[in-house]
Amino acid sequence: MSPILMKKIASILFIFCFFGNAFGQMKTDVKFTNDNGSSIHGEIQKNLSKLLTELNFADANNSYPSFQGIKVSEDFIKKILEVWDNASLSCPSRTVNEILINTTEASTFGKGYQVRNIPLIKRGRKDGTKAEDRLVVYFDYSGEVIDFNYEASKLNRFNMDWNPESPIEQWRIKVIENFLENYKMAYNRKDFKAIEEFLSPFALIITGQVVKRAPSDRNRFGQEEVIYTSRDRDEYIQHIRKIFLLNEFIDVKFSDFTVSRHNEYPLIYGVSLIQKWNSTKYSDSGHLFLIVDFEDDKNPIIHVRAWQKVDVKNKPLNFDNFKLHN
Amino acid sequence: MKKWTLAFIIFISTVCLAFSQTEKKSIIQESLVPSLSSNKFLSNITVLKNGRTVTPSSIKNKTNWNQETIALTIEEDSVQWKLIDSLGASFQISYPNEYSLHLGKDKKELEDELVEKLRKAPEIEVDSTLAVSLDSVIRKIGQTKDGILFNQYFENQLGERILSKQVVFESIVNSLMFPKEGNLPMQVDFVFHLYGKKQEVFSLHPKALLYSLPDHDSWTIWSGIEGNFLLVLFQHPNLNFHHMLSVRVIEEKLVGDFYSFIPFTKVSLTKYQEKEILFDVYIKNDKP
Repeated sequence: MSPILMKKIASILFIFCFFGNAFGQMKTDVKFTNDNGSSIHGEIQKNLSKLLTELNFADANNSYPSFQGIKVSEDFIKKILEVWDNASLSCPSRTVNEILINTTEASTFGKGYQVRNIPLIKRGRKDGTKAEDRLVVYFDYSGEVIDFNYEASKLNRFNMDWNPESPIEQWRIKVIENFLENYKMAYNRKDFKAIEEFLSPFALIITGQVVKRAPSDRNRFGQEEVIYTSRDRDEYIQHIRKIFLLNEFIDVKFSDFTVSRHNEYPLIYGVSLIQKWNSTKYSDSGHLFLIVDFEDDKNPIIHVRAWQKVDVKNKPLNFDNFKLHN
Repeated sequence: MKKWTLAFIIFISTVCLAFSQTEKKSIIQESLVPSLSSNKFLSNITVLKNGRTVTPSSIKNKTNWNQETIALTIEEDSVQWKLIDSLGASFQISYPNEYSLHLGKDKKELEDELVEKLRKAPEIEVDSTLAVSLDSVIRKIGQTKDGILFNQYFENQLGERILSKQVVFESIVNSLMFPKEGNLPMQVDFVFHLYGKKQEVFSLHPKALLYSLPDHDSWTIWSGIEGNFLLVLFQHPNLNFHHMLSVRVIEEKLVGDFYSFIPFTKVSLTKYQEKEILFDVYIKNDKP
């Protein structure tokens, strides 16, 4: 082989490797940790992967993204292009492992799906300044991207400004423990009316259930998966009533409590704990996160109840993830 | 620091003649036997028969226990029964130290019982002339709970226990720590917060509250004072729960709140940092 031909082959290989590598760095694949093999899960995974990869390309090329071949709504395009005038968005992760959350008609978000906690870099179009953030993407029921949201990082904006060593704060923590004991007992007594009274009328309720799938062509061993849904209070109460009817006894246990207090709203507390659910028909263990409002300390109410299966891939929700509006 | 390392052991045997037949019957017939009919109780226990693990359901509704040989051990985290049945088989039944499991009643049922006891609380004879010199208030600390609450009492320089309307919180603590000593008039108007957001109002001397608890001498009193606020925990001698009374002085009256059957939990405290906002929550029950 002549030296000239060898140089040409080497050059072609270099170009392929260079662009292949660059493409690999820009490509983001989304995988749902609760993928149940349904067509909608597959379609949203594919659509969101395409969208994030396109954003990465546009950011790298300092151009506007093109949404050809990606299922996105007109409103979404309008919103993201407005953002793009000032800052480009990109996802620094090659793989995003997250949950696909199913939201119902009556929920705050309407009927559809959402994927949250997507790593994001915002880069100023004029000065190139970068800021890290997290992206949440909303889909309608057909899997089309309809909206997105992100919040400017407010890390360290608030400092914990309470003294838990004071007897008064100890009293508050004990009141929370008592509240949790009553809340837990409401399940054990199958007292859905009491559970309803614990929840704010507009409480955000995210629940998950472990489902064991039968072996299939895709997975001959079968597997456990978690189906997540977002419900409002009435839907949740209806759901829990059915569970109560199906089970002779329910034995809920709480442990590993972590409590924090909101700085802007000092009578609102975040409580993380491990919930062990044991009943006649079903048992599981999960992270439970509650936002409890003690503005009326004789009548505390829950604004958020979020449950997630204990899983290293599934970062538990906590106070950080919720924006309170007065 | 917990006092729970001290195991509480009741041992009843044929040589222990102090127990009457009625008492022996009550501890097993009134506590264990009813529990053995509950599937929930059975789902929480482990059972050894002659040293081998057996399914809890195998002793469901079992009643033929030998009343003469029973050992009950209550430790910080667990409760253990050792029994022999009428056929001579030995059994060991263990479960977590949860008051509702051991007592066979849940918080609501126990609260309702406590309300009844408080309604019938004994009158405390008081002496309004009782006074101890207040040359100084010296705090004596027995144990400390998490560095915040204390098993404590208060003396003057002469070593006398302080009882004075001028230092009413210290006097309440002393009267709970030493219930056999004299009583100042210290009626507390308190709200008992119950399951289901119900409330009962009581006006009692703190000592009457203590006397309403079974075996009140054996409960541990933890207290903390901060300005116009007194916090008292009544810790059960062996089961994993406590009651809580808080007291303030409002317009020269002692006013308080009472919560009961609060399990001891290991609570961690974290800093709140709002950093990855994913959900909007409307806290005024009024969507925009």
